[in-house]
Amino acid sequence: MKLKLVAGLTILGLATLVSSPVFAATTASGTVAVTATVASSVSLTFVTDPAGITLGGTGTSAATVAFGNVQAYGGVVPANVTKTVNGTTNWTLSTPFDVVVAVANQVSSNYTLTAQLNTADATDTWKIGASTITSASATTLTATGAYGTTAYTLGLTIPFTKAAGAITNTLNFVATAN
Amino acid sequence: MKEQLRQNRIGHDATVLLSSSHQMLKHFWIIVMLLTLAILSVESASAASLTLIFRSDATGISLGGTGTSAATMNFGNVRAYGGVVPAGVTKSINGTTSWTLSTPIDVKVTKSGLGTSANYTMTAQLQTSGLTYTWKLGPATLTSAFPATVTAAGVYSARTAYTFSLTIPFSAAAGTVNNTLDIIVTAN
Repeated sequence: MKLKLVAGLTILGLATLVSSPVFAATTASGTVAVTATVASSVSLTFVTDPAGITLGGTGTSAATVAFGNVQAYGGVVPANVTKTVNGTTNWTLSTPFDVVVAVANQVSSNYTLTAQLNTADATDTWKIGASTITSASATTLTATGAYGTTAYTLGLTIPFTKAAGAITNTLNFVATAN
Repeated sequence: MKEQLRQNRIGHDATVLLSSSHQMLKHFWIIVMLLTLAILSVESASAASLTLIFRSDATGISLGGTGTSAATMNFGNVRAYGGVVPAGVTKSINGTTSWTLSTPIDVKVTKSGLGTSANYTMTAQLQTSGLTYTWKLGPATLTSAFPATVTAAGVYSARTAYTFSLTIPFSAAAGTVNNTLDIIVTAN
């Protein structure tokens, strides 16, 4: 009888120990449900070309090009800007700059790049590469642009007949994934 | 014969009932001890508990179900380039390969009846395989394969911020990203 009681007591004691927090892992659980709707997108940024004028806002999508005080004859032009006098009619400032286009979350092998002047300029001639840029419509610079970095040359041609003064305009670029 | 059996039964019962008073007292205390142990056993098993809740971090995204153990996190419409992200969410572009959304969320774990437990271990696991994306909570990269340890020494009763991040490859198709993080805390 005593043995039975002792055995019972021992078993119960062990059960107590086993069921105590020392042995049983005490846990709690929770969940965090996450949702995001991912849309495809294209990035267009301008970067100073190693052989070109130093861009303001390089690495962004809103760059600036400042030629400073320039003149057809004499004077100086910024580093990496080429000045060309075209006979007796006009002169041109030109410099390369880099366009960086990237695509995300879309299957696209290339892109189309267009440019357009923000404000009409009937006097000066604006070019990107061989394409003349106006404010009337967007000009296609490439229909098969390769993603990554591409150098384009900006050309600004000023007639000799134009009065001296500031020339200001903005080129609007649009890259569209094909 | 019937009389003999009745007498035997009476005789047998009498052996127990007619124990000495000392033995009866002994049995009484043994029963008391057993009952006490049983009660202690039940109490010790039921009183120890942990509570886990999620809360919106002051600098993080606003959680659905904040203050509960079943929170939701909705980034809405997002894109690598341009667009907007919810307040408290940081977007970063990782070179030419991927982009990441990250935000802190607060976790609060409280204990009850676990006086000797100094801290807790927290693990997280994805409910569904999400190999296209990279899911992180704190330093742990999460998968659906097994629970990853977020911390092995969590502090009780403190709102602890853990940064959740979701990295999306540029090569991933646009669309909805859904998954659920299963979080488990265990008293150490």
